[in-house]
Amino acid sequence: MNERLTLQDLTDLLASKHGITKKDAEEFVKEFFLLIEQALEYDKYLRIKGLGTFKLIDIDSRESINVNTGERFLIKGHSKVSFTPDPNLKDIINKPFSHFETVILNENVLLEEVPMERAEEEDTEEMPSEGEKIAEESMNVETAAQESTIKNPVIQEAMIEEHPVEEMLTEAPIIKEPIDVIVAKQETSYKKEKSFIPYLIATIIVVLFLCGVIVLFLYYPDLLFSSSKSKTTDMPVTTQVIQANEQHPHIIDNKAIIQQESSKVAEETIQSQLLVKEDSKISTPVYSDSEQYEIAGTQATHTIKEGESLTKVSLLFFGTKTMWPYIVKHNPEVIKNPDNIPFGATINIPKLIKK
Amino acid sequence: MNNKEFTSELARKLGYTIQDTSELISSLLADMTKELEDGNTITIQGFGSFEVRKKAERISVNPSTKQRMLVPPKLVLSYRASNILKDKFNK
Repeated sequence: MNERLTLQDLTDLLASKHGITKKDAEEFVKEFFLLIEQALEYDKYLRIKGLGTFKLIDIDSRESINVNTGERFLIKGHSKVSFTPDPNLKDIINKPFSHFETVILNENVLLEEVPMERAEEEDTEEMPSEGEKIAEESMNVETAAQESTIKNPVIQEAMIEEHPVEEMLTEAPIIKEPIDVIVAKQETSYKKEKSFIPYLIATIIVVLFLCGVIVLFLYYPDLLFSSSKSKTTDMPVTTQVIQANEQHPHIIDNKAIIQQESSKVAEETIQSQLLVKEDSKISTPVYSDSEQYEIAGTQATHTIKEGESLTKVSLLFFGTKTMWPYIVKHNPEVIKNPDNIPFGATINIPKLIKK
Repeated sequence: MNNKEFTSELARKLGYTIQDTSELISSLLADMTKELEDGNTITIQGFGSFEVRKKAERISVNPSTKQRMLVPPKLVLSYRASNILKDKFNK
């Protein structure tokens, strides 16, 4: 595939096939082509069965214009060698595409590829030589669906040579209107699922967005729930809770423990520290969950407002929600049930010192 | 010149029998055909090259009936004369 063969290759093939010497084979091949040349010169026409027809075609001089300068110049009369393969050979070469047939189009067309043929002097075009008059257009199949106008083709370009009638390039007056059509064949053979991919991308984006929302609510549960709930919903990570419980097992109400442990886990002291920065009016020393504190009197009093929970109070005075057990301990009369704090009650805020 | 004349002329030049040369010719052409079928290009110095080219499909219009048809893509054999040959004929 796509190899370039030379005279030598033909020679070798011939020699191996017939058992003649390479020298003889080479001589034969050389002479073969030389004879073609000579016969062509002599007769201007040569047909080889199994290959094709060689013709020598005379072209008259014609005027032409230099594209850059615009000046006229003369293309001298000359001869050109033309070759038309034999029908058998044509079929053999076209074997990969042999199953195609030309089909008649019936208006089933929207957007079409319209070809523009450039006939070059050197190219020998093989056209069906049945006197069929067809519009010449060359097409670019790979760039499908482009609009273009059929222009009057080659005849009007000064490049086209005269040819005998039986061969080629008989132009017909071409319709100038722009053609917007879809090639039916292209529809079938180049069918792609165009509408599929955007939907897929949209779905992926939606899924990612939902994941982001879920993560957000995991980290900031406050956003989801309004805060007139008990402290249990604002509990820190279970480990931290357990630690706090371990520190004061004898102090904290058992009920509270169970409730704490069974509560939903929203985490981060980091979060509460962040919130502290927003909420706290007092500059509080940082209280850590892992430290043990001792209550040393009352530092302040606070009246429970509507919608306030112990964790909020703790946050307000200690910068962290996790100090609420101390508040409970410090106010046994007022706070009987940590979950249910009476509105308007006044509680004492303990002063905490590290043990 | 037709095939017969060509064969006999070639035989005469080489000194082989007509039968032999016709056999050799057909053998040579068969080799060439096989190569071209595979999509390879044959280049003969001083003569030219034979190449297989793909022609894209296109819409063509029958000018008399105005009927549009789709011509399918195809592979064609093309010959390009070498410059030496061209010069020779244009002398």
